This record gives sequence, structure tokens and C-alpha cells, in this order.
Amino acid sequence: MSLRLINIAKTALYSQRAALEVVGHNVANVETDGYVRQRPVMAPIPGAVTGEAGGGVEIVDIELLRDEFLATQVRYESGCLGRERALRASLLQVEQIFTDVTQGGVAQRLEEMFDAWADLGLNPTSAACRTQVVERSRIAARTIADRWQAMADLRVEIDQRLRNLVGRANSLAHEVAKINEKISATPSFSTRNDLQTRLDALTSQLAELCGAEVIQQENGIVDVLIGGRRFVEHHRVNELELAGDPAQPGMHLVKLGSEVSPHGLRGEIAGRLQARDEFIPQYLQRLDTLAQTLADEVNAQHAAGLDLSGNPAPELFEYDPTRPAASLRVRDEIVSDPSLIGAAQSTVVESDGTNALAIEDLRNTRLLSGGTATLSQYAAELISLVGIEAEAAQVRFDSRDSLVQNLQDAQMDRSGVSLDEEALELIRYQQAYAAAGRLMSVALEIMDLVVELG
Amino acid sequence: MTADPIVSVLKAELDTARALVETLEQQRRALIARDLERLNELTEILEGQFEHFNVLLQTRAQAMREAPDLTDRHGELMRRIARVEVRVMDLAALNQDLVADRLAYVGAMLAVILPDCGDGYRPEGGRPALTVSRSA
Repeated sequence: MSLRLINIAKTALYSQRAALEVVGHNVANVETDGYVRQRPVMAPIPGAVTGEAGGGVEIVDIELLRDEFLATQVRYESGCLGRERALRASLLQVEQIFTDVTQGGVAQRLEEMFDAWADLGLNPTSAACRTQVVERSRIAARTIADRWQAMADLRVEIDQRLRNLVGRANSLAHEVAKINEKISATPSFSTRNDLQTRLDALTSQLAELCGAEVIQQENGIVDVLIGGRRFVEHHRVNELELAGDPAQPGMHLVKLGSEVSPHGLRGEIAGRLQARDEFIPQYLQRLDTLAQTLADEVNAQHAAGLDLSGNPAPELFEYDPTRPAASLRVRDEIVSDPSLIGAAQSTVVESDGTNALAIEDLRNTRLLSGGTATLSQYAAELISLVGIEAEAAQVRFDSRDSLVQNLQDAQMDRSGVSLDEEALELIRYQQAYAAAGRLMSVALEIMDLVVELG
Repeated sequence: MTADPIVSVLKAELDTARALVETLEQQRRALIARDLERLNELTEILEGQFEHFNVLLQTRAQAMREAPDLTDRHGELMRRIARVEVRVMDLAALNQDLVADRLAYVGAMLAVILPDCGDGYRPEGGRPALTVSRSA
């Protein structure tokens, strides 16, 4: 065989060896999450002389079999999914706070308190009934305060979690930047592809965490953006930061550069922020309204009564107007002396329980929601609202999850390694090569005759 | 001058060898490009060409046995045939190497992907081998 043909054969052997490594790499990564299938791209080597047959074959690239359009869609939807997941998780926590069966519900505690007032109305001199009113009122107040505090704690917990999430996002961003740097310095197709696959995995995590978007650069590196602002630019990271929120002492806002809560922020961080700043505050507000209305209405009626000594009754509840639900409590002087409860409206305090019954009447008075809901109904509505919003978050999460799953399946069809597919493809090749090989053997036997003929 | 009948056989052999060179070149390209459809087409074409080529070779071998001075009488034509036939041999050997390399490649990969049946697997539905009688 001529030297040129030997060289051609050598290039083919080298190329095939490289191709073998690529397929082996694919097969080895069949279980690797996010792995993108690779394929060698071969091209003929032009002949050295014009008109001469080609000089063999070489691998000019190892392409990643991925669909960038699908990848962009998956990242976008993953960002939305991350937000819905975080929101759902936070709302489920709120729902648990309101459905804590060991403590009982707010509405139930209010009903028990009004029951105690009814008993006192019928037995105005009963020390046991007076103590019962005090205790039931204390429990109702504490239940409201506990719920409020639990949600306030949840907001603090979310804020602390934000610190971790932002830290994780920054850490991922730095990893992206490092890989960008490595890709710039890597001439090897295979290594570069593996780095790009790693970039895909990292940017997916970033999308789910903060709704990061990706811009592919020509040389294989990526820039990461949040709402159009550069989060990662080549090998430089503009870190996400937490800044104190002047409107909510103790809470933090997420900043990217000079922009606070950057537009386009999605993912888990956005979901947690939404739960902390939109959903939970409205529940806290409702608890405050409930506590304030309860205290004001009961106090007003109570002040119209006389205690067991015939003196004007003091206020039953006290609270800090800046945080009514959190601070709602029964006044200490009444706790220590239940005879101060104003059960009577007349000086015949021994037998008059009309004021206690008037307070009990508040149970059925529509004091809230523009005169459409009683105190208990308002508390029940709040629990119902939390449940509905948690369920809506679940529905949105399921819907988004299904969408992301479908997109990922489509992506896997294109990018994932299918052993069946690889095997079928190889068997097709094997059959064709075997047929060609048998023919070549026979052909070479025929050519032996040429040699014999001289 | 009466035309020597062996000349038409030799010219046919030259034409067939040239056609084989062309088809083998195409087969080489198909192997490199891993173009299975084209490879299968060329395998079929080559099968017919080699059958025809074999018949012509047998005819020449018979003629050379009957007229040992054939080479002297048609030296230039025989040399042209020899040059093309060396090219056919080289290309056939090269293509054989490429086929062997690809078979090794798919075999190794199948062994990785289908480890349970790697050794037992044999390609089915392959084309029947071309039969050649060496006794003619």
C-alpha cells in the first residue's frame, strides 16, 4: 500500500479511536443528571495536491446534542417553578401554623371565651365563672398572639433562609465564572464540552434559585443575567447582596448592583420574598385587625359594666396599638382579681349578669369585613384564606412542574443518552460494515489472482 | 489486420478495474462519512463489479495458459491494466482496514452497552458472501 494511503488509513484509525472515546463517554454518563450527549463531527482532510483524492478524515468538533431554544425555555420555566415551589412551601408552613390542632384554632378559642361570658351572665357572682372568663380570654388572646408570633418568626426564618439562598447563588455564579475561564483556556473539544455540560447544570440551578437567564457567547462561555443585569460576565461575578430594608427593620432586600429586588428575579429567592413581603404581612394584618377589634369591642362593652363591688369595670384587654395581635393580653389587675370583671350593668351586682351577656352578644355581632363577619367568622375566613392560597400555590406548582417536566423530557429526547438508541445505531453500523467486510475479503481473494497473473 | 479477440477482453478488464477504483473510492468516502445508506448501495454495486471482474480475470488466465506470449503481444495494455489493478488492491485493502476498524469500534461499544449479549451477538441480515471459484 502506498505511503499516502497508509496515512489516510491512520487518520481514519485516529478519528475512530476518538469517536470511540466519545461514545464511551456518553455511555459512562448515561446516569449523569443534565449530561448532554456528544457526537464527533468528522470531515475529510483535503488532498495536498489539487485534483488529488482526499487525505483521510479528522475530527473537527465534538458537538453537544442540545437544543438551545429548549434549554432557554427550561431555564425560564425552572425559574417560575422555583418561585412556585418556595411560595408553596412557605404557605404550607403558614397553613400549619393556623391548623395546629394541639393549640386549637383562633375561632374555636373565641367561641370558648364567649361561652365563658354566657356562663358568667347566668352566674354573675360565681368565682369559678369569673376565673373561667379570665382564663378563656387569656387563652384567646394568647392564641392570636401565638399565631402572630409564629408568622413573624416565619418571616425571620425566611429572611435567614434568603441569606443562605443568596450565598448559594453567589457560589454557583463564581463556579460559572471559573468554568468560563477554563473554557477560554481549553482547546480540547471533549473537555470543553464537559465544561459546557457542567455550565448547563449550574445555570439550571441558578435559574431555579433566582431566575437567572443565560447568554451564550461564541467561544462557548456564558454570561448570566437577572432581569437584564449581568450577574456573571465572563469570569467576573457581580454578587447578589442583602441590604437592610428600611421599611421593615430586621428584614433584608436582595440587590444586584444598585438595583434592589431586580426586575426579573424569579426562582426560590423570589418565591421566599413574595411569601415574606406579600402573603404573610396580609395575614399578620388580618390578625391585627381581629385582635384590635376584639379588644376594643370587648373593652368598650366591659367598661359599661360594674364589677362585683359595684365600681366601673376596668378594660379587660390591653395591647400595643403598633402591634395589636402580638401584644394582646388580659390586663394583669383582672387576672389577679377576677372580681373586677364587669358582669353587671345595674348596682344589683349579685344577680345582674346583663353586661356579661352583652359581651357574649358580641359573638354574633358582625363587626368585621365591613359588617359582614363576626369575630369567629373573620378568624375562620383567615384560616380559609390561608388554605385557599396554599392550595392555589400547590395547583400553580403542579402545573408548572408538569410543564417543566415536559420540557425536560423533550430536552432529554434530544440531549440525553439512550442506551437503546446507541445500541440500535451501532447494530445498524455493524450489519453494514460486516456486509462490506465480507465483500472486501472476497474481493481481495479475487485480487490474489491478479498477483498470480503477474 | 485481424483484431486479436483477447484485446477486447483486456480492454473490458481495464474498464472494469477503473470502474472498481471509482466505486472503491466512493466506498472509502462512505466509510469515512459513516453513510450507511450509501455504503449499502456501494456494497451491492461492488458485488456485481467484482463478479464481472472475476469472470474477466478467469478469461485472461485461460487465455494466458493457451497463449503464453500474450504479455509480449499486448505489453502496454497489460501494464496499464496492472497499474489500475494495483490501485484496486490498495483501495480494497484500505477499505478492508476501515471496515475492520469500524467493526472493532461498534463491537467494543456494543460490549459496553449490551454487556450481557456482547459476545453472543452476531449481525443478522447481512448480505450473503460473494462466492468465488478459485479452480476455474
